[in-house]
Amino acid sequence: MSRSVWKGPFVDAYVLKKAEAAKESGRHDVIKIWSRRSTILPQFVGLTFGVYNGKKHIPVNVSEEMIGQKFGEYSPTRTYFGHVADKKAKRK
Amino acid sequence: MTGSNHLNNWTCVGIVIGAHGVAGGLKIRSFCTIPSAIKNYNPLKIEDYPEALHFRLISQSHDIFQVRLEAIKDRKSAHALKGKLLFAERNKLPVIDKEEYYYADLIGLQVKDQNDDPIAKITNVNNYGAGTVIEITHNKSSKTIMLPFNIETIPVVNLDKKYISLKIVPQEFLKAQNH
Repeated sequence: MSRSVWKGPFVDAYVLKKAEAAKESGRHDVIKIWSRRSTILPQFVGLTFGVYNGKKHIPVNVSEEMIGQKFGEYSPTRTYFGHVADKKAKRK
Repeated sequence: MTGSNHLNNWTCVGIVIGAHGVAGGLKIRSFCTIPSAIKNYNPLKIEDYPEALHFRLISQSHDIFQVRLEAIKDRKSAHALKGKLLFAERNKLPVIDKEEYYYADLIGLQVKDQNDDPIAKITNVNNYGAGTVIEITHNKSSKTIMLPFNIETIPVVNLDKKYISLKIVPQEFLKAQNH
């Protein structure tokens, strides 16, 4: 069952505070958070969060397409050993 | 993700998963982003095999291919290659854009601080859906952290001199250096 619209999206209060502080400072530091359940809000776009996966903080660079999803979706908790082969990384 | 498969100018692109038929055919799994791209990297080198061999593709099912090699004529020799990795020549990989890098090229690069001192090494590169992430391991404490792969964090990537530079050294590494 989906969450009632009248409640609005759920975000842990400390995540909002940290995000506001980071925006005001204008620095590009990774904001460490443990709240995987928090919803990604429009005001988080452009910020980089370090989302805890139970072991370490995985950097999550928030973009517009991610709004409405949860932080935990971008920080997998299981280790996957793949192969590099011809995979490419783009520096933005 | 295994970076150790990057041997000099060869990049790991697949693995032999078994023999196929009685005439020396092989079953291989492609690790390429687009599995069928493996046929563009011919000839491939088999792990512990002296020379590179030409593969002829017979059929494909997802990322598994049935292939034939001229050098392998019987099932016994084909079966002996099970589990061996397949390597493609690095210069056979497609040309990439200015700000694009192959994972295989990034893994193993030195990480330098603002004073140009090497402090860590890139041990892994990943993308979990929110941008590329590099995993770096501190030289002294072997502490590992993850950083976003962007210009704000990593202003310099020099593949010729095999290093990247950090704009700000992470707090975790500063603590490790002081201990």
